[in-house]
Amino acid sequence: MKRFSLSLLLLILAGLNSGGCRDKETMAPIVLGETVRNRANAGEQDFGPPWQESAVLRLPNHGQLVWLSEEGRERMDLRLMIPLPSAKEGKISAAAIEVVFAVLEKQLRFRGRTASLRLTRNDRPGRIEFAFHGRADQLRHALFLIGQSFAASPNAELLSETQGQFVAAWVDNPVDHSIAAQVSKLLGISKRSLYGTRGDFAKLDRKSLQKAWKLLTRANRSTLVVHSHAPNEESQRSLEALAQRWSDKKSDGPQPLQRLFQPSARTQAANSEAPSLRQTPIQLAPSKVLSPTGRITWLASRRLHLPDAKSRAFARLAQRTLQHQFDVRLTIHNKEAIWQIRCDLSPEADIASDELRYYLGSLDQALHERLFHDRVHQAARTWLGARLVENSLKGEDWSVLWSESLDLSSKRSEIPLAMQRNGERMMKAELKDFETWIQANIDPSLSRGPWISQVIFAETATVEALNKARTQAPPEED
Amino acid sequence: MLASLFCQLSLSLATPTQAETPRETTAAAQPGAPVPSGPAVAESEAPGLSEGKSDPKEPQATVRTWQPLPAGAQEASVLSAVLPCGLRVIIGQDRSLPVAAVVLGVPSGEGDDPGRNPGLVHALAYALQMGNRELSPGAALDEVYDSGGFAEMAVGAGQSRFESLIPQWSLKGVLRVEADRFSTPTLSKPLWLKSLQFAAQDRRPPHAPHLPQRALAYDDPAFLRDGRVVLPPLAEIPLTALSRYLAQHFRYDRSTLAVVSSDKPYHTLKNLSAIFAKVKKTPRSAPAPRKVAAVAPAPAQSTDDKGWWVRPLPADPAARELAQVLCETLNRPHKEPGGPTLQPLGCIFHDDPSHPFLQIPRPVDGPDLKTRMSALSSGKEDKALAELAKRVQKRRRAALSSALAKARHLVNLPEWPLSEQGTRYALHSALGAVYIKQAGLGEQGAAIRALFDELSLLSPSSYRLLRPKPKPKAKKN
Repeated sequence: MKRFSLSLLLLILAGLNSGGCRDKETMAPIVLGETVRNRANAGEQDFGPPWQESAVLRLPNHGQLVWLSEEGRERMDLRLMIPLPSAKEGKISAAAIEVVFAVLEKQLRFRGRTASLRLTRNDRPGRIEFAFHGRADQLRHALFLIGQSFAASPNAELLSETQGQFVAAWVDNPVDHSIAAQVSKLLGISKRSLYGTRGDFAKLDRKSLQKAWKLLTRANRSTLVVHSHAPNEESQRSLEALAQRWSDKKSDGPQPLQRLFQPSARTQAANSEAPSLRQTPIQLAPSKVLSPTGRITWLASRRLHLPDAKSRAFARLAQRTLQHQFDVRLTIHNKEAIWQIRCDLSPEADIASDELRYYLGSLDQALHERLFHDRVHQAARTWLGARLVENSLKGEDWSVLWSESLDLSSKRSEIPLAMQRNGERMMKAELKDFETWIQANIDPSLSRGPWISQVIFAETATVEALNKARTQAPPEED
Repeated sequence: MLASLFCQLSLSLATPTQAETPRETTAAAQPGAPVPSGPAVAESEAPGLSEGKSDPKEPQATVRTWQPLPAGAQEASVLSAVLPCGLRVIIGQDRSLPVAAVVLGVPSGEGDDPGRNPGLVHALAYALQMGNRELSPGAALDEVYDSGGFAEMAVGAGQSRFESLIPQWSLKGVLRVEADRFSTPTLSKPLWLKSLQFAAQDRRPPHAPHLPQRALAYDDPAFLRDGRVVLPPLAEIPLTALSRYLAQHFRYDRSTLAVVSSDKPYHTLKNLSAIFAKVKKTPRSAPAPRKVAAVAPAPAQSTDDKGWWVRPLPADPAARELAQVLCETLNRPHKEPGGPTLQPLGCIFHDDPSHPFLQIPRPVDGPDLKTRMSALSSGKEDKALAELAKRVQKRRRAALSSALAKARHLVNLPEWPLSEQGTRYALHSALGAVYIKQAGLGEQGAAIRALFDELSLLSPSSYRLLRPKPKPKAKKN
């Protein structure tokens, strides 16, 4: 039941919208004949799929369709992307969202299994994705199953049964809770929409679940991404049938694809007056449970503004070069990212403060030591290669790469080439620029925040000791 | 992609008579040089695998292209060649992603273990990762992992495979590793013991067939020994004997290298030929195709209700595809008009690339194998059979959607040349997953039955009955 990861917690505000109702009127035919020819990858090396043709269109039910054609493809991957609700769409708690998606997942998985369709669920920043994988001729069936599940009225019994399962099985995780608190503060969004406690699940009433169901299953908010051979008459008919079954009368708000992009953040960007990580006081995160490992966890986060492909490449490169030594995590969504550092420390105040001094000292050292081209280049090669190889092993599903490209783009037109640009920037990173970027953004002593620094499972005395230690030099080694 | 290639090929191989007489040509397949169009396989000496004028001293490869050739060999989607070092290479293209799959298949597996030393081939496969004259220990894996790739080793009944999936830009590096893999291995006592340690940690996959079934199917007691065990005698084998065994089994002239990359096969072959040019010239000495042993007469009907029917199959994609169809047919309930409903037989198809076999448990209640086979032979199920065959084909083609899956498929294609095996069966074997379609029989269940008959799959007398040993009675205190 612990489905929340940082990716989900990085809930990005979706656009303006309000609830809609369904009708069963006859839809206009869908014409998939015209495809957009994207610019081919023109670099020396290819870092993404050669998706040279794609069709992007609005379905008669106001949902969006992206069709990635590949000649001779015998398989199909059908990805449904559903943005998480924005603040303006009403206050919907993370618990309600989780229950609704769990019910949808259960239905899709059960129905898909009978048709030998494999279902995967991906929790990405600001959205949830369901994907069916199967043979190309199973697309009709996969679309039918999506229509069947998403067009249905909320099943109160099933929702309440699933809610009960969450209440029974949910284990509150103070680390996840703390991450939610940090992300909420950094992005200026409600913490309740990021993380649900067992109490939140228990408090859910029928009305709030139905409200969440109606919003999250709206066709007008959803984007379908298909990777298969070029569309034919049968796929056209299947899409028409889907649009007819899963209809949405209103086309209010931004286009579904636009909702997947992060709107301009409401919080202040990094400023030169904000304290660095070392200057930021460490706070005690509330926790009602004891540490499962007996150690305390220090967690520091900051928001990174990544306006272009170059800065996104630098952020990933920095994470990859540090990752072999430190627990550093990075989630990128369009122009924003969350950078996070974690470290487990001793519960003893003295030892913990020494460990923190040593850790910050090592981090300083790693960031200030001279970067070698080979090391940075190697980090880029491994990351970019693994991204392609992993996708190939999982069946060469372009829809998931399209989803990754979306996170690496600032606007819709950038999506087709985002992966290629990202790869090129990473491979051709200038060391001097990279070092400057590191100092300005992630250096614990030099970069200006806002940073948020918390310690979990600790006692007040330990927090005080850590606050003294954070500005001190690392201890002398014996 | 492969499917479309096979379909293209089918156009040119419409009739068995054409297929039986594939045209061979000796035209040089130089870049830019027109390659004569032929009905099936064009075999040529290719001195011009490198750009420009050919150097008479340069190693030469025999190239076969598997598609109609009007556009020239450099446009072919799949190329097969035998390099001067005796290595057979099969190169395909998959443009879905900029990745490359490299699979080196060696026709030695657990069945080749010497009687006294079960597990030797498996351990030797690990020993090859310990480096050699050219590679430091673990360098082969480092080359793959440093580029974010995936490496795997597979040891089966009669085949060992070294597999890599890497981004396209690392292909040359991995091909260099493959060209060095069988260079004089570094054998020392500590490294051999380390290899045994790694081999001992390997576990047989849970779905692997039970050893007695395979031993009976192939009438080969060698399969009764577990090829994954690491017993103390392995550590005592003298290094000279190990070297001899390595040199005997792990050789390029017996092996096949399949490469599937996003680049054109012709370019890949050109690079590959240059990289393998340093390997010593050796004539190809491919192992002869394994013949399925003559089948002993069916055992007399027994009142013993337990046991399994087992049946070996030819190790080619066509037979494996047909066996899949048969097995799925047997696993469906069948209703005879006016008769009782025959229950599913619970057939299991062990799809080992070198030693595939069928295993059908003998049910306690329900129809015997003979009843079910005669129902199939009667032709009453032809329509359902044709439908099922279509579905199996679709599924097998869809399973070939990634570069690594394609490379694994290619490495298991039977040895050529077509000119020597010009029968319809050999031709279809090469086409693998489109066997039935190629024969123009996709809609006709009767024709599929005929193919079953060709392999004598419907003849219960071609199956052997394995009875489990009775459990020893517990001793009374």
